[in-house]
Amino acid sequence: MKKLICILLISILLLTLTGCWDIAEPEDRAMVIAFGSEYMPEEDKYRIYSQIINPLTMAGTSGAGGGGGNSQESSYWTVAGEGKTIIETLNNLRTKISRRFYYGHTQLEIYSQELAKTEGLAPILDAMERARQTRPIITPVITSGDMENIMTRPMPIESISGQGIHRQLEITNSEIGGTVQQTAEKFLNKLSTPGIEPVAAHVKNIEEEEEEEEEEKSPLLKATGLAAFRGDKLAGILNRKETRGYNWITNRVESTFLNITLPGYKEEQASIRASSRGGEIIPVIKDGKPAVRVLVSAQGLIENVTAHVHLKKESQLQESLNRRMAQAVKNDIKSGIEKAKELKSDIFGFGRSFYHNHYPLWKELDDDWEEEFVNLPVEIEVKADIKEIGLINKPITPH
Amino acid sequence: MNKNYQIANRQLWFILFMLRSTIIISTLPVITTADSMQDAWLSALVTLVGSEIFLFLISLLDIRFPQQTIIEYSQKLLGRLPGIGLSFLLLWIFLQFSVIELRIYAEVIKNTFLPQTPLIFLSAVIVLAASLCVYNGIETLGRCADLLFFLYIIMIAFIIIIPLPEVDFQNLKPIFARGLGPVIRGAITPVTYAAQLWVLTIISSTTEKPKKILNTALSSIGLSLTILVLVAIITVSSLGPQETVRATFPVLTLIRSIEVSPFLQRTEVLIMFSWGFGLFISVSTHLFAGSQGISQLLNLHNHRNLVFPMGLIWIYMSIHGFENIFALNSFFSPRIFGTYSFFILILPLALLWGSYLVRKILNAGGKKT
Repeated sequence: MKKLICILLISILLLTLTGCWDIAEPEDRAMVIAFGSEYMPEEDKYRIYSQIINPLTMAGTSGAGGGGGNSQESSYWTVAGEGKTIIETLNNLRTKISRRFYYGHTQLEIYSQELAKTEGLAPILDAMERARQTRPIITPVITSGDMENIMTRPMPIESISGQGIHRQLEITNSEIGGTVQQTAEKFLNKLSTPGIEPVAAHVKNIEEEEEEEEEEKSPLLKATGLAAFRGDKLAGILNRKETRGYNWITNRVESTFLNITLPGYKEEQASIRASSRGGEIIPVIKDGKPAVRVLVSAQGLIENVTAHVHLKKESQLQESLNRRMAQAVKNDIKSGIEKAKELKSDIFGFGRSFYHNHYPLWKELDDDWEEEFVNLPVEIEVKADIKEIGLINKPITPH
Repeated sequence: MNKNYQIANRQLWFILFMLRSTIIISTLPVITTADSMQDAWLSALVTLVGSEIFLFLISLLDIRFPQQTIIEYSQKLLGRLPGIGLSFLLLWIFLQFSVIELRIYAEVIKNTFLPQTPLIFLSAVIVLAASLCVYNGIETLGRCADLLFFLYIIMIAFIIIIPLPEVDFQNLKPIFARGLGPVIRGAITPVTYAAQLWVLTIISSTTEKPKKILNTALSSIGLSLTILVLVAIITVSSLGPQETVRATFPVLTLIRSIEVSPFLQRTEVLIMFSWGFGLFISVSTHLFAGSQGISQLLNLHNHRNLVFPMGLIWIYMSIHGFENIFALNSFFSPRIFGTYSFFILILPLALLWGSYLVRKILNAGGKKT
């Protein structure tokens, strides 16, 4: 009898080996790689583009030879839907697609400028935070370009453009410090902390800059600058230089390059690859008034000099190069702070430094920090140090 | 008490540790139940001290009656009827606390991983496993604790280490921004959660050295609450206080928002694993304490036959005890839970100690004359 029960139990347990309760094969799902949300004020509606990985080509590329027959087919597909709220829009999207959405691999959420300006991001981020599939490591991006173009156009040398944009942001951020790449979690954190405003990455179509050339739309995107917010609403866009200033202050320049004029020359330049070594905001109180000291240190590597200077011998040269580099960094920071003040958006967290370190004073400042921020005296101190000169110590002298 | 059942003090240490620290990874009570915000770790410190005091009182009393459970000695101390009443109260506590934990776990699994799985299935699986374990006696429970503890502690270590790159201690400032009030309020619920430790008064009699449980219990709970302090610091300083307060399950949110590296993602499974282990031990312990208690109350020889029927009650209560997660949250708010804990923790303790001391003085007086 006991044996019989045992056998029965074991065979029942066998049933559990067949698979999970909520079994779903990855190929049977529509994996969304990027969202693009716009807001249409005339109709008071959202439009969301979602870029979905094409499971058919996904299987093809993994096969031997890359599946020549599939090369015609795009490896992603963008579908758009409209609705009054974000969730309604997503549900409208569902009617157009034959598979169940899967948001677990979503990397990007792109918002149009109008959406960020008029509606704010909070309602959308709320939906993202509540959902179980999306994770707060998604990168929020603001675009001033045409959303449809960004979401649908193919990207050179990338099979899935959403992934491409993500990589482009990463490269722009780490190679030239020209944008910020931040997770949605950091965005939310800044949004809810007093005295600091969130930022997001910014991309745009390249042809917007060169408006004279009226050719067909360029497929290229440019990741440049950052979108500064006031609350959850977009305040404005910082350009690359100002963004670099932001990155210097927050100690996040992994690598960038600066052009400085060589001492003693007028035209000749030295190109320096620079990176952050430290960035600190020190709140000080002067006569009961708030002020801020910004301490930044940077280090550099000489990549190129155009004039004949011997970099080893002249230590004076070294010092003056350091000074010039510090000045260049300082200019970045100045322009960044000026722009932020113009936008009334304390993206650096000057207010937060008071909140953290001078709480009693902050309680007085809290109510009209925007005004205080605009008039806040900021003292910038930059230490720059050129550490390396590369593999040669003097330029070639042509005979 | 049947002397055949025995666990080592080490095993008791493991059991208590897992019992108490599961709540940390589940709801992180110093944060979710009140508004102590960036001072949550101070609340956790207060919790550490407060819980240890209660635990000290409970286990010191228990040491006076090393071979007996609270069901037996409460009748000696308070008299037959009040003793029985107190025993029923304790049995209710065992049921309620483990059912709450079950429900939270089932809710999380349902909300984050298996949305189509019915709640009842999730809690039934755990209760079934726990019932089997308890059916086989306390030694089995002790060995399960032995087995799971090291896995558990490794995962807890991961949970603490993984977010470290994201930590920014600036987020802990300003300290005491709103005074001591929020700090204390944040500590009320987790301190009074010590009522859970009444289980000690039942399982202590099954340990090898019941007289040494004071050391065991204090060090075990001490360490698990130190982990509470650490986790509170790490969660708040990497997510930021406001974000942490908004999360229903802060630690889960913390781990979800971290990408260790592109090839090491989705470490939240660690949390669910360790949480599951802790929950299994916790439910088993409560189930054991409950069945042992009832069998002693009714003078039954064996607690075994009670286990499965009680398991059914456990499953039923985990589904119908609370309507939804909001009901749970409001139950945990310091005002309600603090008041409630007066009846389940402070009053029984005061009664037992009062009567013990009165009897001692009377006895001493009696001997002299």
